[in-house]
Amino acid sequence: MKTTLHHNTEISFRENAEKEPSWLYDLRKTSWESFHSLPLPDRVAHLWRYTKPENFVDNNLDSTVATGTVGIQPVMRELSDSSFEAEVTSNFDGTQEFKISTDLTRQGVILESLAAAAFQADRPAANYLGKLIGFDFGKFEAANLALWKKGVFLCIPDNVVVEKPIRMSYSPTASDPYFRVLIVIGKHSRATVIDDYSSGNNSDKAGLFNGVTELFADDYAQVRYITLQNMPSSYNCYFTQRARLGRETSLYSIYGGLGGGNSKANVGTILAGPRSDSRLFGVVFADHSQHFDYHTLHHHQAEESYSNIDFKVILKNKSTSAYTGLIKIDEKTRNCQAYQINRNLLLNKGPRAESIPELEILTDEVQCTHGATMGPLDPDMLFYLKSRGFNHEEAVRMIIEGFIEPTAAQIPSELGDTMRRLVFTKLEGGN
Amino acid sequence: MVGEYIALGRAEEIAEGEVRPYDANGTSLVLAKYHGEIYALANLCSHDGGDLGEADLVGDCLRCPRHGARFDLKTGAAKSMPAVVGIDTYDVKIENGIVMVAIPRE
Amino acid sequence: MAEIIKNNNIADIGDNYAEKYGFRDPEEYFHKGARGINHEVVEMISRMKKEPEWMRRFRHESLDIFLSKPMPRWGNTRILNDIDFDNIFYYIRPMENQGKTWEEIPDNIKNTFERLGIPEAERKFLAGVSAQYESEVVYHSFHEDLAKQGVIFLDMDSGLREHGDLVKEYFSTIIPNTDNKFAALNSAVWSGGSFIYVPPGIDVKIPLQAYFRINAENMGQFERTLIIADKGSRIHYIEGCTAPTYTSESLHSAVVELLALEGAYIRYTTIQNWSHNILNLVTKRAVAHKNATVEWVDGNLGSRLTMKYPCVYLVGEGAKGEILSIAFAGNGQHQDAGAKVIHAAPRTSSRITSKSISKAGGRASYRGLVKVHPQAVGSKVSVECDALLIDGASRSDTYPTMEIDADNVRIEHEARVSKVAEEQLFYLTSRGLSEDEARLLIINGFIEPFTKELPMEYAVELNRLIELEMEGSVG
Repeated sequence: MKTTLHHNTEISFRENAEKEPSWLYDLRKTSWESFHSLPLPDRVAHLWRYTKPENFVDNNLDSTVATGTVGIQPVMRELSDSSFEAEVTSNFDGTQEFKISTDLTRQGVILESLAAAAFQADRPAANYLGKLIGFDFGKFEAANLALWKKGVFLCIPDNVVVEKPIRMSYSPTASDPYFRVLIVIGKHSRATVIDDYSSGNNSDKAGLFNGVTELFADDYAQVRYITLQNMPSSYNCYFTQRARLGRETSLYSIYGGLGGGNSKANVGTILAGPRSDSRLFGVVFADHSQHFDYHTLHHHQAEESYSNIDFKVILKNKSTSAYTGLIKIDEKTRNCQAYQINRNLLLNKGPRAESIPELEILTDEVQCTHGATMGPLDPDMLFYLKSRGFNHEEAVRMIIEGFIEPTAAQIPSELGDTMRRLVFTKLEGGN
Repeated sequence: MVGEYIALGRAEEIAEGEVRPYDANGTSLVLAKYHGEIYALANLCSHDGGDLGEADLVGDCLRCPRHGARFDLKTGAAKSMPAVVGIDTYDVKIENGIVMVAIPRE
Repeated sequence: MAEIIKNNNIADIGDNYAEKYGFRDPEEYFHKGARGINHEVVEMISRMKKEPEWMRRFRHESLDIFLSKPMPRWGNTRILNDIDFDNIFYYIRPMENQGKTWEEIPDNIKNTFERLGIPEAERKFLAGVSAQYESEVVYHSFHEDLAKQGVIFLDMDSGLREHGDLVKEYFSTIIPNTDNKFAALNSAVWSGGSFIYVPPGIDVKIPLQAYFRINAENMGQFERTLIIADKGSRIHYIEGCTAPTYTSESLHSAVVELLALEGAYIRYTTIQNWSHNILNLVTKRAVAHKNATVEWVDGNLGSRLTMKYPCVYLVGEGAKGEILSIAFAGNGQHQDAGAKVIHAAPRTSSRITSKSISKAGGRASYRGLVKVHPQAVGSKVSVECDALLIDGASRSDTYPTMEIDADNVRIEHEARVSKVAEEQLFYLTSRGLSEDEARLLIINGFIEPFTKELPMEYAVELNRLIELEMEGSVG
């Protein structure tokens, strides 16, 4: 059989030298083989029209392949007097620190490295890892599942209400592009998870990031999940995230896209339980020669589920954005409602925006709308603000503030401020 | 606006009638040789944003391999449907047998 | 609207497609080539037509392009990949020469067009008629006073013979043979279609019509139409099409090129009602120059698979494009239709309105492209897609693409998918309408923006077609 190779790497996977549990080793091996047998995504294919797959090819595959999971000894600390219930910090040097309040530990909440979770038989990681984003999801996702070392496992048992947010913050490690997050939230539990990729924006060395997040929210759970991406502009970033919702489960997710050079994100929610509810907000601000390619998916698999997407894109200078939002409603999935709006603001001459809001509806008992707008700042609004004595810059700032504030206001803790600050820094930055 | 000249390779590497893709410090372009002269154009079809690296020459035009849009080698102007908008061209000079292409500064 | 329903009691409309349109004639042809496509077939077509050398070469070159191009990797790839190009008849010439009066047409063919109501429509409200049967236009008529004003309305083959220079100047310049696989195939084996030229300032007030009929099984019909509206002129062209129902497939693959010069106006109306064994893979594209307007009014009711995205290139300042379409997908049908608009000049505007109805397992897809180039400052785009699903087995997809590369442009896109609202049904049935009638009334209201743009006779016909399609859709 002919396989398409993009690297001069042996296809055979390393020996199980680290003595990983066999399920994990086998999963990695299958993923490794899948990675090699899958061709680079076809530019004609649905989600690759606007972004070159070559951007996300890992050219240092040889050095990472021989290294297994063990070797990362995460530091565990107790957390007290914080605005967070738990914190994970993934550092530049590849080390990770985990802090968790005694209160959460007492209630059975687990927050640890994904590798640690995988090695312990009493952890449910094996039941979930790769179940939403598996070895056959795509070439780059297969690479992640085969090669991740650094990762986070968060497991909240049934009936636990976590009041303050749980924060994960990530700084890129030059030698290791892969990162994997697995979140499992039990029945009737409630939590806010912040997945923050905004702390390490100071590298000018070209780099690659390949991150996967799988989130399982069981029946009646209520989850808020916030991601803020402000990776170095020298980095090409590839994110894949999927959430699966049970019966009457609600997910409130926010995606902020600000950093990176070429960023491609494929984020989505599977509404697998009846009356589940997913609301997704996005804010992307692209400037200079940044390129963002965001795909959102709301896949309704259960009746009476509800989804809503509000995705906003601001473009400046010579930046480009492609937004593809798919709403899919399965056969015999009655009485769903799905809404989607994508708004694009082009601040000057030069940026390019693509918007592709898609619907695939296989049932008739449905209410579904989508909309998209593209345009410059509203001249009437500018004129009105100027007539009220604001200068041009102030007026622009006020309009942008009005554009992003409904989303920023939903972001808990200081992360909302971080997003506002990043947006206005970009707005006021030169060319 | 003429920017910085970037060396792309030896002029003799490109055969008469040949089209080749190059990366000039992040700017993707194609070089084409026609009647002994080397031309540099953006590697981006204005019809659907596809690559022109595998384009061929039809007279003094670059022809996109996918839908046949043609672009004037000298000016980048669109010469046939399905393209109606031209593509960027770059200034070319040959120094000591090396092809130098001027990439405008942003 | 209620009167229409009352007068045509749905239960009494006994005709189905098979009887009304799906009948077939015996095959008594002047020439029927062999199945399959190769350079000999292309050579034979060109020789039988006694074409100039440039066209002969163009056909051969096009065949090479067709053979080298891959199948589209999007749309309904399952059906596309199943097409057996070797099983198709590419050229059938039903009679030796074209008729100038209906009396000159063999009875079979004449009766067919009588049953389809073409001579009647011609007498009532058309300025010219072209009737194509298999590969050739068998009947052609045109008002004398329009001809005197310099308007040309011919079948494409006669156009090439009589106005060779004009045809050579514009033929294939809007849709080159490299454009896509099916445009290449059409370019290799085209036959029939219309050639229209409207001189500057002439307003052709009454519509011209072409009617396309496929009769043979496994037929490939490849008509080619070119319409040139010179400065400040106006023209409305209507096409209709039907075919007998067979168990195996036929292919209809047309290429239609429209050119609207400065200030000209072209409206192109299509009522596509092919039988459910036809694959309808058509390329339609218009170029609108300064202050010109092009409107595609596109109704898709028939065929097994239609892939058709009428396109307008707005290349002159102030040009306008409008695409208004309905698609009706019944059992086993996939209507993959849509619209494309390319804005390449300042202050151009476009509006796309798409309505689709899916029932009994049918699938209607809207696939569209709006592209705004940097030159198109101050342009406006509005896109509206509405889909109606009649039952749970049917499917609706919406794949709009918007690519914006210009300053100061306003784009608005909206899409809605819904089922026939229970409260509307309840309201109407409580007023004494049967559920069938109520449903039909709602659908008529849904597609009204489309039907109101049709000449009256067509609107009535379309409503009748929808009634037929909707018959027995309840339960």
